[in-house]
Amino acid sequence: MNPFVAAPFIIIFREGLKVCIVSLFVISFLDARSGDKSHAASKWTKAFIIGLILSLTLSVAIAAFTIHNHIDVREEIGNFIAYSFAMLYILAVIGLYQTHGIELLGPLKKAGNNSFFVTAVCFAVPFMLFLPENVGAFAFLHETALMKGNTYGCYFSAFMGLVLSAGPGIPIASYLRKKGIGSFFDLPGLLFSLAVIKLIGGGIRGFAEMTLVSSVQRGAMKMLHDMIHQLFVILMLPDHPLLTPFVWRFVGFLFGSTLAIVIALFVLAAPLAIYIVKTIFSPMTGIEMTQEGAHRRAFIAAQRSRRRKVTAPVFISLLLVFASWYAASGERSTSLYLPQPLPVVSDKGVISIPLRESGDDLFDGRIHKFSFSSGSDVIRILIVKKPDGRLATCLDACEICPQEGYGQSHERIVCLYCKTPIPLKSIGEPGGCNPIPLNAVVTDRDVRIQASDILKKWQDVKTGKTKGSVK
Amino acid sequence: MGSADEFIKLRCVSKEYATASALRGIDMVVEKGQWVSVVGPSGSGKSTLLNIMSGLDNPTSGQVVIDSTDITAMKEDEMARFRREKIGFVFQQSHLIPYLNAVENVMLAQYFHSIADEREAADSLERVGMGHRIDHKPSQLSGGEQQRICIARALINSPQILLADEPTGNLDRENTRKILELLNRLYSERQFTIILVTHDPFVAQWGRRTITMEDGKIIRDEYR
Repeated sequence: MNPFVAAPFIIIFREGLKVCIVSLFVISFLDARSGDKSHAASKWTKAFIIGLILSLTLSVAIAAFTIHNHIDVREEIGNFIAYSFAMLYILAVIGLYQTHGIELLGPLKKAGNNSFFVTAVCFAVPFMLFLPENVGAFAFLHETALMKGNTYGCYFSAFMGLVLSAGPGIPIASYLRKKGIGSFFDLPGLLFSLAVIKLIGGGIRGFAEMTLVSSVQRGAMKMLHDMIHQLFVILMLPDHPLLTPFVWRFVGFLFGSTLAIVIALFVLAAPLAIYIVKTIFSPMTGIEMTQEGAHRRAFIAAQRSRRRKVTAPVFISLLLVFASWYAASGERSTSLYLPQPLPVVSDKGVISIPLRESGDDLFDGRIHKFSFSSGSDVIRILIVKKPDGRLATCLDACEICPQEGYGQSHERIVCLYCKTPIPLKSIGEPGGCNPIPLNAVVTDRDVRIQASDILKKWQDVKTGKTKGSVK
Repeated sequence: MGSADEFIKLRCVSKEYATASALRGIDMVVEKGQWVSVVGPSGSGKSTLLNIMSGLDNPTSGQVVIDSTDITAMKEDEMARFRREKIGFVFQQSHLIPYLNAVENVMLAQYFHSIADEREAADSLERVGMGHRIDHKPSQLSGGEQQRICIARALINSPQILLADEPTGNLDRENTRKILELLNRLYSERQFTIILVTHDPFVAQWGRRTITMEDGKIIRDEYR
């Protein structure tokens, strides 16, 4: 049995490294902020460390509970990561405006000066930063151990990842803390940096999935899209003569992840850029109180040095955001999966497609296409496993577009005609841009589809009946 | 560590070389705002004393406390910061950068302290009577003029202490008098502390206190 398994090693190494870096940033920030309030700083640091330990313990407990009770919390974890990221980012933006004298916090500003409130925040921060990722990491570890059938190898590799991250990570973090790395952080700078570490750290979702923007945008666009179609249906007008391929491509662009990622990039990068510009170029306060000559120059030099220092981590964060976007866009451009349809025939009016045959597994999470010939028509069938574990069986066509079919990009299928992305979980539901569902029976060996059902729905597509409009 | 009257305090400071002792257990206190002349024959330890007081050299034993800070316990970078903020130097040689003009030489000192400010540097040259020569390179200036620029450079960062090692050693009597008059005027205006090493009794008499050294020891300490 192989004692080394790469995936658990990398995941736990990454999480360990993240804990070290985040702890270093937060504790150094508290050091620098304390000034002569060393007692308070020590209390805050203790609160953070206790919060961190409890967060890690709770992660293990939640992961153990969900695994034991076979509860799939992947989606909830993903959402929690996205929400906690968004919360951090919003706090950082509030901190940014607050730092530059624009009051957004109101009474909370007073609370910020209250030691008890700060202690409570220090305690709560590790939960927001680590809890969802670590539950995900532990669940992933367990799943990998089961899948590989190598429990010892997986847990040993994870342990090695932890040792390798903590071994050098803790002494380096202690050294940098002593060297006063805390002077590089003001509050918005710290929060931006933590948010970007969370973003780069990845959790179980990447840059594209992290953004709440894309889902909000898709929701809004989907509603608009359906409204336009409904309008055509109500008016009994043919839609495709008006909605030319050019218009459809434009609609697809509005729907697509390209625009989502641009909006997300703007939302992420704009506050960072504003922070840098405002910090570097805002007028220096207190300079008029300073004497002339060397004292004045020393004051200006100290202010400039401070500004350079506090913008450095934010500038690095900005670069990392662009690097993540670049990597994510590269990943997307190459990831459309387009399998060749496999020919199938009907036997006594029933088409039978085996669940697993010669290395092909319908439950592998990828789309599978089959072609069924009827006269001069070649009808494509699409089968894919949904996030709930059930198989969706559909025509490789929708009710709206010409029948060019779909490709797959991660957890979405994408219409090859209008480029609209559709999440896997909505496949199998009728209407809109979804592929047209077929009535199929899934046995323990195969998927069975009535040929008559396929032919009827195909005829509906061809004649435009499904659109409910005259073609 | 020290009272207000003990602005500079040396405790049993010795400096040993392989073949000789430059300083032998020097104990000395200088008050804030004093002008102290240190005199003595060549090899008596005057310059070594000045170098140790400025942190340019370390004593073999003993302690140097300036403004309540033990500079003998400082690390190199702390010492550099301390020198930059508290001490100005004038040497016998001008040590001006030959390819920079007068104002740029002064601005260089500003730059190493914090940031350069040309107007302030030009004003400082005006105050030492060199306002008409700010664009001149050192080679275009006389020895006396170069020393004036050195004084402007030494004082541009408002040091609390001015250490001068034979500042008029290369000048004739007339120029020596002019430089000392200038120093005296600036001293009256700003009240910094001056430790001036010289072998010339004419220069030494400008101080309010004269310490005489011989063979690494203080043999006389007179107030005027």
